[in-house]
Formats: sequence, structure tokens, C-alpha cells
Amino acid sequence: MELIYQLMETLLPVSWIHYDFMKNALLAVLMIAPLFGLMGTMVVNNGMAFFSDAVGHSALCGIAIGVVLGLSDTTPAMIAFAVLFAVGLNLIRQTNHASADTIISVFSSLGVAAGLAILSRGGDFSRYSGMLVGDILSIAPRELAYLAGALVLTVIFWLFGFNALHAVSVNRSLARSRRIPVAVIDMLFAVLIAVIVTLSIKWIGLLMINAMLILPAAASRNISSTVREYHLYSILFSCFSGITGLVMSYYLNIASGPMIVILAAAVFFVTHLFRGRARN
Amino acid sequence: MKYKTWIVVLSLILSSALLIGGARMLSVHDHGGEQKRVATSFYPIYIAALNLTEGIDEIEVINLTEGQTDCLHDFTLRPQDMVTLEGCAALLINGGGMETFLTAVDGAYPALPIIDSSAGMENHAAPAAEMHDHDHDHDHDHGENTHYWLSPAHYEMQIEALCHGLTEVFPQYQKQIEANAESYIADVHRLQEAYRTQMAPYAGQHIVILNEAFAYLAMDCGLEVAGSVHMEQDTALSAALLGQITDSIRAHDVSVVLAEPQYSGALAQTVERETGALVCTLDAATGGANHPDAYLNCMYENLDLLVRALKGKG
Repeated sequence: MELIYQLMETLLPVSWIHYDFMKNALLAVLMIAPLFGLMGTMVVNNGMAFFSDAVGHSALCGIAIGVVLGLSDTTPAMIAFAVLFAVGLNLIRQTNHASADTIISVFSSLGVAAGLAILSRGGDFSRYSGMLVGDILSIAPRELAYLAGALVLTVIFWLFGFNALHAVSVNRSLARSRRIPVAVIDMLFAVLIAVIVTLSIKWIGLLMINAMLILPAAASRNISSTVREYHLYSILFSCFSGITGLVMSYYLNIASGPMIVILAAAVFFVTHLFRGRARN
Repeated sequence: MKYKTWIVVLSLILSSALLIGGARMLSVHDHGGEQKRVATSFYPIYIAALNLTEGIDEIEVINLTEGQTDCLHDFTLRPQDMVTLEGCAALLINGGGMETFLTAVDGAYPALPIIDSSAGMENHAAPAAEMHDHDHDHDHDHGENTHYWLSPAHYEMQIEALCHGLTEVFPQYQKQIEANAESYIADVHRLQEAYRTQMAPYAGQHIVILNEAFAYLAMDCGLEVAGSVHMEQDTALSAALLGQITDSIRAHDVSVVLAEPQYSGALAQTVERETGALVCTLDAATGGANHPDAYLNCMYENLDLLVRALKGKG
């Protein structure tokens, strides 16, 4: 870790890099940004935007269960619950004829309601309200390792599963006829979203995590004409808003998460202006 | 790379440089100079620190949560707060777990002395954290009630703890800090006496509090708390709990309900409509003027309001 810190100080001759918390936050952004940029393209393609939001909301229930079980670190409970939530939602979505957004809405509201109900009985919601906005400045080196793990996992899934996932997003029947295990791919992707959203929620915040996931991909879709461009631009936009937002938040004394999301939204609007022209 | 990709990359780099450059020009970083700085976690501690360092021009007191008017429950550190802490000689806190952001501070600045104003507080009487309907069996755990400053008696102990910590960090100003502490404690003691004498006629009277913070005040005033709600901004109050409060008010013939505007405005009105008990809205001293006398003024005002409410119905 010391080596990375030294390297950062040598490469970046700016005042804020001398603070360890800024170094950690920058490292976190450097991992979260490409991770979300990549994940976002798949989420947007497969119409899972609302799903990732629901998973974010379910984290509240995970926290509540962790608190009731007396766990000092609620992250494992949150991840376990989010995975269960994702699997349950996916199973019901595959067997019920109601539209996906209806089912997701049912689960999302249930997650929040159950979380609030449990916390109103035996917990203290206000202690966890920090989760709503997140705090990337308090990230510790150990937690950076989790994020690195999540990034590796996502890249592996992207390398080996993207084509299948893309086929599923285009046409499920066609994908099936090509012997693609549609249900398995769906489930794996849902679980991956659940794990990644839950892992990052503490740093980005429940209210903004979906924006981080969706905005870069949506902006990229505005101007890209090939799948390759779509992924590349999404990662570039994500990194741009992450890094610039973090540094601006330092100078302007604004909370980092919201600053990053505002920039990501600005990129979306700018790309929207160039929409037709860039595609041609 | 394609021509378009180059344009995208270049415009991103250019925008990034422009935005960061602009932000840098507007930068709020202006700390410097020869002053020694101490940071406080929030308002009541800030006011105490102002009093303790009065007349010592070399020590500057900074309130981390300037502008924040509640009890820190949802405070998140901004980059600037972490930077502010870097140059500080000490961080003064309320303690008892109120400052949830301390882990982040500990991680970033393990060497920063943290002066806990609640040190030794566990040996002193604390009001029960929460009381509902007495017939029910509750296994709630809301943790300790850490709103110590609302009891002048406890606030005195906080000042002592802060004074002790500050003299260790600034041995060169020990005399002055101790003299300041003595004078401020004398003021708070007078406040305590005022509460004791003016509240004496109402001792033993039952009240209901809609913010657990006031449990300390009630204890100092000798008032019996017939019901208390742990009310926070984001808590949805269950119908059962509201029913229990109403029942407690009726059972104990409670005439005054203490509320705090920030957390319990709407709830207070509901209770008032339901029971006819008078709702007395007090200031929990979690924000206000940055003046050394602010705490005393606020607490004298609370005393006035309290006496008037108890007289009106009592």
C-alpha cells in the first residue's frame, strides 16, 4: 500500500494527494468508475436499471437484519440478503406474467418496508442514514481490496458472459435456440449486480448508486455507433465524472458522491446534444 | 483509435482540466497562519470550547458541523472537514457514541488527540433511555442517551473534562484555560441554581417528552418522565407508540409535553389535538449564534418557557 501511495505522490504533484483519505478515495474511484461504467452498459442493455435500484433499496432490509442479529459489520448480512433478494426476484419474474417493472416494484417496496419495520422495532434508523448519501472519504485499504475483487469479477463476467448476455437482451428465444442457458445467465447477472451494488452502497450512497450505474452508459448510448464504442465511452464517462467530481468536491467543499453524479448527469445532457450527429 | 474517440477523449480531458481549474480558483482552502486550531464536533461543544479559550488569541476554535442544527446523526464528513482536521491540535467531542464519523477520523489521523467531554460520565446518573407504556415488555436497545449538555449539571462535568483535555494539549495556556473554566462553570452553576429554585414548585410533576434529549433536562428539574419517544427525523412513528404516548398522558394526568421543533413538530401537534396537553417547544441547544453566551441564553429561555407552560396548566 505504501508503494502505491508513494507512486501516487510522485505522479500527481498536487496538494490534496498528501492526504491519505484522498489517496484512498481516488483509488476507490479508479476502481468503482470502470466497474460501474462496464456494469452499466450491461444493465442498460438488459433493461435492469430499475432492478439495480431495487437491490439498492433492499440493502436497508439487509442492514436491519444485520442490526437485529447483533453483527458489528452489517456488510455480510447486506450482501447475503441482496443475493437472496435478487434470486427471489428473478425466479418470480421468470414465472409470473406481470411485467418486470411491476415485480421489481413489489420487491423494492417490500425491501424498504421490511427494513423500516425491523428497525422501528429494534434498531435506530438514524444511525444508518449515512448510507443514503454514502461517504467515499472514509474508505479503508481493506475495503479497497473488496472493490478490486468486485472489479476483477465484473471483468471476468464481461469477458466470458457478455456475448451470451447481449444475445439474451436482443431476443430470448433466439438466444435459447443458440443453446445459451438464458436462465443461468440471467441469474448470474442478477447476483453480480446485487453483490456490486451492495458493496459500493456505503461509498456512493443508496440515493445515488443507480445514477452512477446508469448515467455513463446512457450518455455513451447517445453517441456510440458500435458495441465497442458503447463500452469504451461508458468507462471513459464514468472515470471522467468520478475523478473530476472527487477533485472538485475537494476544492469546493461539497460532498463527493453528489458532485460525481452531477457531473455524470452533465455528460448525459451534453452527449444528448450531439446525439444524431455523432451516430452518423 | 477512431477520429470520434479521440474527440471524446480530448474533450473529456479538456473539460476535466477546466472544471478542476475553475474549482481551484473558487477553492475554500484558506487556513493558515500561526494560530493553533482545535476542532469541535458540534454546537454545544463548540460553545464550551469558545468559553474555555476566551482571551487566548493564539487558539482558534473551529466547529466541524457549522450550520448543522441537529444531533449529528446524519452528518457525513466532507473533504474539507478532513483537511481542517489535519492542521488541528485536538478534536473536542461530545462522546458517548454521538460522533459516528469518528472511525473515519481515527483512520486518517490516528495521532490527533480526541478530547471526550463525556469521559467519566458513566458513573453519573443518566435518565432512562426510553419509556413506553409500562405494561409492555420491550427489548429495544437504543443505546445510551448522550444529550448530556441539556442538563446543566452534566454540562458542568463536560466543561471540566474539556478543560482537562485542553490543558494537556496546551500546557502553556493552562492557567488561562483553567481560569476560563472556573468562570464558565460558575455561570453554568448559577443556571443550575435558577433551574432548581424556579422548578422547585413543580417537582414530581409528570411530563411527556417527544425527544429523548430532554430527559436530562427533566432529571435536573425533578420532573417525572411519564413517557418518552426516541424521535428522530427519519423515524416513522408506529400507531401503537402514538397510542401509548396518549395513554401515558391520560394515565398520569400529564399537562405539559416537551417537544423540539426540528424532530417532533407534526407529532407534537397530533399529541396536542389528541390529549389537550400543552406542548412546550424547547430549544435543544444544537445550533444558533456563535457567541460564548449562546448556551446560557438558550437554557435561560428554555427555563422561562418551561415555567410558563407548567404555570399555565399546572
